[in-house]
Amino acid sequence: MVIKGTATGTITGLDGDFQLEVPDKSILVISYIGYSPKEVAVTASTVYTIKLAEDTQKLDEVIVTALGIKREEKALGYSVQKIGGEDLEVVKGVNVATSLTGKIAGLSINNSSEISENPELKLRGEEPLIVIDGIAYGNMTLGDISADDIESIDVLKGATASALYGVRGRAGAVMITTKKSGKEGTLTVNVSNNTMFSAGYLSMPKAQSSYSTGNYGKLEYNSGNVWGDYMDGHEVEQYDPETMGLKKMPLLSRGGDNISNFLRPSLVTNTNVNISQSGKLGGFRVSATQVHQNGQYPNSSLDKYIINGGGNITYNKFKLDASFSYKKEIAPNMPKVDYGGGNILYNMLVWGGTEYDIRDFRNYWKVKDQKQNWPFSAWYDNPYYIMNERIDEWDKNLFNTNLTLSYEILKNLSVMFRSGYDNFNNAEEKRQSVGDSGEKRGYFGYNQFLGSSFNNDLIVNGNFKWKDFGFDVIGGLSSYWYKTTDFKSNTRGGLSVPGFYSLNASVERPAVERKMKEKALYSVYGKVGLSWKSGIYVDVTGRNDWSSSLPSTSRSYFYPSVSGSFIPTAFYNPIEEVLDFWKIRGSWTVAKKDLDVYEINRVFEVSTDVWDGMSTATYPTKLRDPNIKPETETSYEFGTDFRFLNGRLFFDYTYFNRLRFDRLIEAKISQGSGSEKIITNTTEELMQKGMEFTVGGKPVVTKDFEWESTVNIAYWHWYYHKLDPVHSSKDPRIMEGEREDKYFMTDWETDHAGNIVHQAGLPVKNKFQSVMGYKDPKCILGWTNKFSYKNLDLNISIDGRIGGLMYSWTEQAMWNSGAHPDSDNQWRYDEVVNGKQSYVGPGVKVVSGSASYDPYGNVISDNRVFAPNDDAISYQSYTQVYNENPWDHDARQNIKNASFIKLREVALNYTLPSTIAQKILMKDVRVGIIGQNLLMWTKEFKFSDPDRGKENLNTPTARYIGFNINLTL
Amino acid sequence: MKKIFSYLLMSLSLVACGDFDDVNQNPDTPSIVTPDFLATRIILKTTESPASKWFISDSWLVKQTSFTEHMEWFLYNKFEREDFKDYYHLTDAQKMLELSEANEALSEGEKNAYKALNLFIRSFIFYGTTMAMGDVPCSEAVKGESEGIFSPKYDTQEEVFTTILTDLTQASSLFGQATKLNGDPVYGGDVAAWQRAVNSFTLRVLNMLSKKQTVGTINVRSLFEQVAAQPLMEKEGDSYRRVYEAGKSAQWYPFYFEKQNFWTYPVMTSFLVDMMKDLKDNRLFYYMEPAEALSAVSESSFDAYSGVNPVLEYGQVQAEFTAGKHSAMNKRYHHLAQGEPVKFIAYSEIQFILAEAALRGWKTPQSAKEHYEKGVRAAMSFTAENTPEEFQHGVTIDEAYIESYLKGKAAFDEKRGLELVMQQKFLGSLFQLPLNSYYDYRRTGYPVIPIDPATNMNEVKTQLPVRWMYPDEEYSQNRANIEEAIQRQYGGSDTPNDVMWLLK
Repeated sequence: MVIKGTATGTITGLDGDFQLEVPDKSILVISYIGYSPKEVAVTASTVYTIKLAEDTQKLDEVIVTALGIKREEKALGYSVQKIGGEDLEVVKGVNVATSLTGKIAGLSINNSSEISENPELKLRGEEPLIVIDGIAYGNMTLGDISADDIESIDVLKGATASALYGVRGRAGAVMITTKKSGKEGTLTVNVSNNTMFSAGYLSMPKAQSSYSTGNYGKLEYNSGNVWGDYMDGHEVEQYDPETMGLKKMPLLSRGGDNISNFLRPSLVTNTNVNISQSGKLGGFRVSATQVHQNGQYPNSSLDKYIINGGGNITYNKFKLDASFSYKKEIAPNMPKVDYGGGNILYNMLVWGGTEYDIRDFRNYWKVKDQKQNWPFSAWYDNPYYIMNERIDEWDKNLFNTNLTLSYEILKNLSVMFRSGYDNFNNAEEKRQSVGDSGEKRGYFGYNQFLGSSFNNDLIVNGNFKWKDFGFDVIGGLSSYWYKTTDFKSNTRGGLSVPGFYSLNASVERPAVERKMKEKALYSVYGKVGLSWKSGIYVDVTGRNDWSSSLPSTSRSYFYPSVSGSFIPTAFYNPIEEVLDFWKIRGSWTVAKKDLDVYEINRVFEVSTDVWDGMSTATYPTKLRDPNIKPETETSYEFGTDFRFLNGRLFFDYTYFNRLRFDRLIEAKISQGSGSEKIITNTTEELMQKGMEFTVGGKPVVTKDFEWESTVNIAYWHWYYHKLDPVHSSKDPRIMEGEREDKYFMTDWETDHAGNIVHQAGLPVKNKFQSVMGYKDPKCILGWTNKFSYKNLDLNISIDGRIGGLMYSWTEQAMWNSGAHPDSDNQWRYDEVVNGKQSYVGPGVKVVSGSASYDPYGNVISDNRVFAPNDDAISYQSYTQVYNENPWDHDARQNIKNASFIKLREVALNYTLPSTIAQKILMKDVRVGIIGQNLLMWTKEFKFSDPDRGKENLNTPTARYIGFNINLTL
Repeated sequence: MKKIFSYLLMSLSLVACGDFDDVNQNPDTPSIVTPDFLATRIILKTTESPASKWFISDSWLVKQTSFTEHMEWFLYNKFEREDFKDYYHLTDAQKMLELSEANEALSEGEKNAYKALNLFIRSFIFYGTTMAMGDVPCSEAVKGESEGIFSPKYDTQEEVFTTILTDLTQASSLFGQATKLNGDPVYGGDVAAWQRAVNSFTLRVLNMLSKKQTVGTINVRSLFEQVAAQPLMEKEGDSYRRVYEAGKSAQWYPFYFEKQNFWTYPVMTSFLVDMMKDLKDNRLFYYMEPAEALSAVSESSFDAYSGVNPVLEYGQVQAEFTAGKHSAMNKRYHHLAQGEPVKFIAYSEIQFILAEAALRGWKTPQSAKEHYEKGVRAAMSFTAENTPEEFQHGVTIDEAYIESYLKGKAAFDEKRGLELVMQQKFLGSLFQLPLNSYYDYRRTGYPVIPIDPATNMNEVKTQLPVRWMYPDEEYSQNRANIEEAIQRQYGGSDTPNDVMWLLK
């Protein structure tokens, strides 16, 4: 509080006590972050009851900045965005990150449909640091926190915002503030439940059902193909799941719906109970969350339990905050993801055939624990066997705790010590029965992943005012340390007793392996902030890191940042009734990056008992430049922020630019040198340029109805800024100023008109790589809406990614295997039924001459003479060359535009009027209908959901619909 | 001030503790080992067979088998690019040498063995890459870490062969002065066996240079005659080879069915089957299974076996295979965990090389006929010894049979000498001696591998490709040197049909 018209003021104590000598008839101006200031005339009274109104226009929203320090948004010279916990609780799925998708400009989140994969956060294209209550833990992710425990999330975009986090914060930071005990003298109990059921799928792959398993028109189970016989009901010897042997039966398509018949309805429940109380000296809150998810496949599920508690004590000038949290995650069987043995879609969709009904194979044993009831013996397993017996079981435990002590030395000088520790212990058990397609003698593996991280900060913080100037100064020391240990063990030579899963069942001496990683990082940092008249702010920061993973000559490195903001409306605003607020901001920073743990060491890798008891050693094929130094990035950004008409309309724009130089790369060197690569600082420079744009407001506000809407669009790309004469690619398509994410692939050889060249009737691949387009999306977008009508509110959020190329493994694999629906055509019919191998690939053949190219596809000489291709060959042979095994070639026709837009969340909630709620002894009652992943539009992906960020036999994405209950006592 | 500061820093890091260098030390990787660890590694690497279907892919190229999983480029003679990854093993060899020199506990005799092994391994690997591509990095190779040469120049093929021959001569003499090779999974440390292997390999290299009189200053013939008079492999068991074992899962034969699922796809070719039928070669029964469609015929009759014409359009190959018309590979290749030893330099091969040299009029320990017959006997006995009775289809290969075989159509005939020698080398190399049959064919044209221009995927439709293209990466990482190399050899082109020095 200050005396109006003067610079004289004070800060109240925690109980509101203050002492201030004032002239008569003074007016006190009382202000607090997040509230509108209030003026109070001084009277003779010693007690004033002053209630500050919350600042509804949020002109000076409070942001949690680096180190957990709260600042007014208007003072910040960089881009930040805040989201309240309540917005993440509208629909509570398995992982809170899913609900964050599309809500922050520049934060793209890849949501996988695989139960084992967490959403992947990318802030301006890179993984941001996760900071919880000011602590940058080493092992905590967003999914380890319950939505009900989040007070707010502040996303600090870009390196300046997180400059004080040093090397770990160069991709920005996601600052999570957890809920604390409520207002003094209250006891609050809150119970909520979210339950959602699957209601169909956003994408569903489909296979042809005219031709059976087999090869070149014949049903047989060894080839592994689905290029078999025509299923018109003629009698063929087939595997009979009843008798578990071969039997003559009519060959018919019985399994056109095998995939959907195998999938089961999935379910997500999210339940939370939390209690908090607050007294005179502090408060306490404890919260318990249980999340259960049933996966799309039988026996795949995930149970997550989170318990956390925390409290605070304030006594005079001393403040203590402490909390802990424990998470347990149990999954009885995590399905194998991606193309390969053990993957359900690999076994059923791609290579399965439809001549059987999968449900007839529910009894999956022929001989228990030894032999499957399944026609295929070489490559594939019974999917029911996979889900019930080919086990990848997880038991994850994660614990974290923190302690913050602060002491107010002077009125405006405080010191804080903050310490955070986390520890995980994850156990994985793997089983494959005797008779498994991969491990034919059976397998048992037990892996343990342990780790912990320890963060400490000592921070001194001072605030001073002089006339219209404000200063704030921070100085700090910090240490960060982590250690991880992976311990893996497995049986060798199979299981001695079928069905006995233990290391003791190992036929040969079991294999064991330990891998450790340890790192320490010490830092000193400081910040000086200057403000003038609440209209101009400048911050300067500096940090020096000492990293254990760099050589002693270069392990100490410094990075500075400067940022500032200018608020013209604080000084002059002739259109006050229209323009509420206008801010211009800018920042510049230097960020550095060190090496991975142990990378600088030159050591041998030793393997024990490789041959006849002999051990081997090998020297790394990766060399190290002795003069290695940290990688450096300078970045700057500009932004502006306008707010109009009392918050009815706002927009925010940011341009950012990052230049990365002295990049630490693993430069490939000629294999002739005897080594593969060298870790060095390249002079190749990369530049990222991007923009973020947010526009929002309240298009409609009436007495009972309000519509709040926000749209955000962001894009960024990396460009080659400078090439390294030694280490950069010599490919002329890699050029300064060009994008860095070109999609290089081996294309088909063509004639001058673009027709595919054939030889011996088969399409010919180029000997060089071609550029097909770009990998990164053109832009990412999000649109959130909130409609409120009286006690009803409706939330709708939509998001998507536009552009970018992505290889579809599903399509390439289905074409190759013979399962692709479009392969059911006349040529195939002719080959299988009429015995005519008559497919003529569209294109040309070379009748004379030849062409030679340089390695980049530039023509050196070309005297080819073409004629239309007229070599008739087998359609299967052709198709399998045009679509090779998906590992071997990403063929042009299966590289697709990855654009999609998703209706991510819809929630319709009703809040009981408090008068009625109180009658049933409740403070607050909310019920609603909710949905997640409701609809999806894709441009080119037919069979799968590209939201995962890659397409590799992605499991169908379930559409969830359910309800929400939230009770506060 | 500095003191206070460092004190503060330390107080913060009480738990993080420790010296940075300790923290950054991986406890599971040593900075020093004894040289035998590296010797074992590189010997295993040079006797390692490719995994899965690639184990048999050489036999597609020389049309011993075809493959019915799906079209493979080798089946129709399309070559892609090679690489220099084997040079990584030479870095290990270099380290082995350094560690041995620095190790005071080792005797001079042991150190000599490591020196000799290093030279042998270098020769073995340079031989592999130059045979495949032509000029390769050699004199500046494997100096990335020691001398900072990241873009080694290419030596001409002639220079590479000069180095190989010089190094092999030295390796042989060093093994002669050695006592024991530690960490040796092939000969159990027997340096005399190593010397015989080195000399034998020298003969292979010289024989591959049969079109040349001299290599640098080396006279090919006189060096051959000199080495042929030195100790050579004496029996098939002396071969440089990997012996697999059923009792250890890590030591199973590469094509054993528990290690891979590709065993249902191979089908024998008419080229191989007809050749063996013509010679009444009983190894046929040990190499393959009777054709399903011919199951009415006794399995011990040649008539029960058939091979697919490997140059048919692939759809036809598949259709005939699917109809069960042709023989699959013998089950022992995929259902015997120990399979058979895989040879990289074989006694029988060396006998055929000596026979070939004798045919050229070079001085050899024995006559062409004697070497030829020794080669046949050893190769046949090897197959017989490694085929348990249940895989023999009721047909025996014993001494009496071998002698009668040598009097039949396979009898040595000086006029057709080279053709016969090449045929027997070819017949004995099924799933053995990687790429050796192809290189012999490239050099001599024997045996006459079938080619159909209508299905040949090589750009020159009337022939097999004669080399692999250089690795893509070299154009980025070693551009000036590779461009010089292709310019001087092939006038700037780098295709599978350019002819290297060796073949001119």
